[in-house]
Amino acid sequence: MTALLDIAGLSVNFPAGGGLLDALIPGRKRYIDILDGISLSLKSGETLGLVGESGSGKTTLARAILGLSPISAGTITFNGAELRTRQSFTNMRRSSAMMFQDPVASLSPRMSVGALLTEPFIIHGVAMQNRKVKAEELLSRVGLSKDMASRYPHELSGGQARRVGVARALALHPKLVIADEPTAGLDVSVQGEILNLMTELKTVMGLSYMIITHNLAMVRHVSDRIAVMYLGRLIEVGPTREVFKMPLHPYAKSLIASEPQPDPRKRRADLAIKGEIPSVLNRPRGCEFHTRCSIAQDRCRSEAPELQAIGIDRIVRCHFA
Amino acid sequence: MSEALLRVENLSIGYDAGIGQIQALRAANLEAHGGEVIGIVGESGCGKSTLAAALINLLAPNAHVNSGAIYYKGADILTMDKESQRHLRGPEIAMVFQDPMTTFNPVITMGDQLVDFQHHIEGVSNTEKRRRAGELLARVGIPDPELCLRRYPHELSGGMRQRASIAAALLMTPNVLVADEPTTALDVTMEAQIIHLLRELRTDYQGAIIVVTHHLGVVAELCDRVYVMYAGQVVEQGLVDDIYHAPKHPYTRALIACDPAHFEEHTPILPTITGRVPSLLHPPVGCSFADRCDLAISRCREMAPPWVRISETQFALCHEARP
Amino acid sequence: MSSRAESATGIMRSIRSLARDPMGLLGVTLVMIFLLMALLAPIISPYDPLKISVMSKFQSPNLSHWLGTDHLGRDTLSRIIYGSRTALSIALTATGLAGLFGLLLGLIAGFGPRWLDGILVLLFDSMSSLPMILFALAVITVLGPGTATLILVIVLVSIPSYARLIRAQTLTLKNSDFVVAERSIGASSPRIILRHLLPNVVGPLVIILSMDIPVVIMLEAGLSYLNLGVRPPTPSWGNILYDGYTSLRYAPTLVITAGVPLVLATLGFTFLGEGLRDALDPKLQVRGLR
Repeated sequence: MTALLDIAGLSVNFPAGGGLLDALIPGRKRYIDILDGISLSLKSGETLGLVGESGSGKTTLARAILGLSPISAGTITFNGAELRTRQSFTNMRRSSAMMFQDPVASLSPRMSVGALLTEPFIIHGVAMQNRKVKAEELLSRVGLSKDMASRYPHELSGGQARRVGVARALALHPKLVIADEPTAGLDVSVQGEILNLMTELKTVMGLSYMIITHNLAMVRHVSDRIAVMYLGRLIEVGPTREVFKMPLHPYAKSLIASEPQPDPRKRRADLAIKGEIPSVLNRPRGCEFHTRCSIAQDRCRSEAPELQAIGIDRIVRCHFA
Repeated sequence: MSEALLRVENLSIGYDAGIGQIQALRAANLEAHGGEVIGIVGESGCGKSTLAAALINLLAPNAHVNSGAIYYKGADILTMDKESQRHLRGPEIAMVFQDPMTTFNPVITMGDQLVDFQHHIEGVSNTEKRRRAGELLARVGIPDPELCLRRYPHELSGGMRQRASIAAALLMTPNVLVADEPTTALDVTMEAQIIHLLRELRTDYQGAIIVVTHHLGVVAELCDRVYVMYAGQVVEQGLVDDIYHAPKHPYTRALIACDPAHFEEHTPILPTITGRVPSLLHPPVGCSFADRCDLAISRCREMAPPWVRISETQFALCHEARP
Repeated sequence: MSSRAESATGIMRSIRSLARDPMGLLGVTLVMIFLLMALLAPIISPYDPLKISVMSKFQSPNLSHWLGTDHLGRDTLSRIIYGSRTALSIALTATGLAGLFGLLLGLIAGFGPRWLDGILVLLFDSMSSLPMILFALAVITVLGPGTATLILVIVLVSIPSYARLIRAQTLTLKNSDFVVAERSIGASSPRIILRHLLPNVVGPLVIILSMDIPVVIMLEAGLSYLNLGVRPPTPSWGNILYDGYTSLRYAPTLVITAGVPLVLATLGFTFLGEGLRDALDPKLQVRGLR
């Protein structure tokens, strides 16, 4: 299998400030380091889970892949072609799609569901015989009734809006779907429905997924591989089963241990991790995780670890892995 | 068991919706004793937030109490006059909200607000109140309480704000602490820390803690006793271990089965509960869960299910439940 | 389903929901009455509003002059009817133009590059920091008083506030989830502006505009009162008020008869604005519970 998506050494910086004066005076612009040295690939037909706390940069990475956040360094190759120009991103958007965290807010509020569903066809100039028929076809694909087409986004329940999001993402038969927290805000029973729908459509349509989430329990069941991020760095990548069984990075370890277990007999007495993720404005020196790490040494405080390969398919960024 | 600190009896609450009344809560019963952590768990629309709002007497203006009572230390708080109700909120029953941003006024420093939360305590100077606030902030695990007191709410992270709102609730030394989805807005590492904090609080807190959540993991980690709600009714109650290991109501069983955290092994197709929650505008005559239940027989659709006593501590609202 | 049919149903829904709101309905009715008055002025006026008749000056309301006459014996009712024509044409033209320019500049500032935004905001701020009356006086001194100058002054003075409203809305919406979602499916900037931003920012603008129309009517009356606006003898509510005020001692009804339509028009447009706010927001349209 060849890589559908290949990211190499990707960095994203955001300008700090940015008023009129900053634009006029050269050298005044400062940048905040959001993402750095991200290298990741996604094989065709694969589901990759991208996990990390809020502030880890996972959403920024997704947006960078789709050309929605400017890239400062590195390359993104999609389907064999490097994405560099505006045109190449526009072409790529034809065969990729994003599902957003807030399903209602990501639907244009003054458009009906029918118009929203058929919009991708109009934008990319893809012929369809009849808008109404197309909208109904897409609705039935995700298990919604035809009369939903005339509804407006605010009239949908969380689960329904989520399904509309899925239908819209899959409208143009994309190769890659990036799903940002696809189950956020959904009840447990509805979560399963959405995930099963996504799995089913993946098999039928031959999709690849990149699922961004902090819900470990969910990602464990839907993804083939997972990539763990911390403060804009990739800290561990590997097959889901192996990472869950034996996480190599201390952060991955404590993240997995923090997940509340739905079994009172498995209560933890101790705390797997203390404190919270630092701000990108105040990035720790050396290894980003040393402020919360239980095995941190002097070396971690001064020297940032490099990504190293362990075995054939795992990589980790830690001095002691 | 000792006399309950808080007792909800046969409480029914509806919301006016123009075309009728939405029966958000139907004949709910609940008891909370001092030193106990109670979990109220259910999916959206099950009535858990209505119940929580009723406990602290902050129901929406279009809510109607159709029947029932909430006894706090023997007195019905629903029939008290407004003034007594107001005195109850805070010093007696306090609430921790899902979004800690709503607890605090954005334009006043944390210190001033935390002092203000103690307004009902008489004969204590503001300096003393501030010192107490600092102490409690340290107690809930805020690393630099003095700095925190000088900050504005938006300058704190979500986790810190949630800790501070727990401190604010505890400052009022309530006998009942109601926490509505206290960890939902937080990341998993912060969630674990808040659970840890609440659990640890029990060692020196004599009151009852009531946690309202949709998260089965939170309940399992934190609570002693659990009330499972569905379509406005309490469908099962019991000790946490019984609820997770010997659930008697089919809905409780299905809900636990759905949680992906439940499976150790890779499970590509996750179990779901088919069907929908019935409309609460006209709740069904029989069992509310009948349409989604594998065990349902004709009796379930025609007759309201009985409240079956499984043991001293466990009850289920089901025709088919057996001890 | 064509998009035109959809937007038509959207408008129909807005109208229906406006008609359900009693205050909105009152607003619509008042505004319609004034519009009809303005349009049909030559037909419905009992007299020529400019015709001087010294013999019949300062008449109290009577059967032949329903609202009496002024110091030159002109029929007040006719002058008020013609005055509504002046008031509405100035108010609608001025707010319409100001709204249009405000919308354009606001969208450019909000959606365009940051440096352009900086320049435009500087421009808006310096415009609104000018004292309005002094500015008006300066323009009138240069161009001479008259209806066109009045409209120009009002347009220049009100553009910044509309532009700033639109800019703020655009900035918020530009980074909202649904705009990012549209970009992620490849929507071009013109499409995002026209199909997604415009419908969402126009609503609030229309509301503000309809609430500002009475302000402009007042402004026109005020400036005309100061002899800086509509030149006499053209009937305008401001001129009638001025005449009424100077002859308050002889004909006290004159001030009231010119004040009442001013108040009613103000209320009418304000109610309409508030009704529109509710009607244009799809979230507030009740459609029965699901």
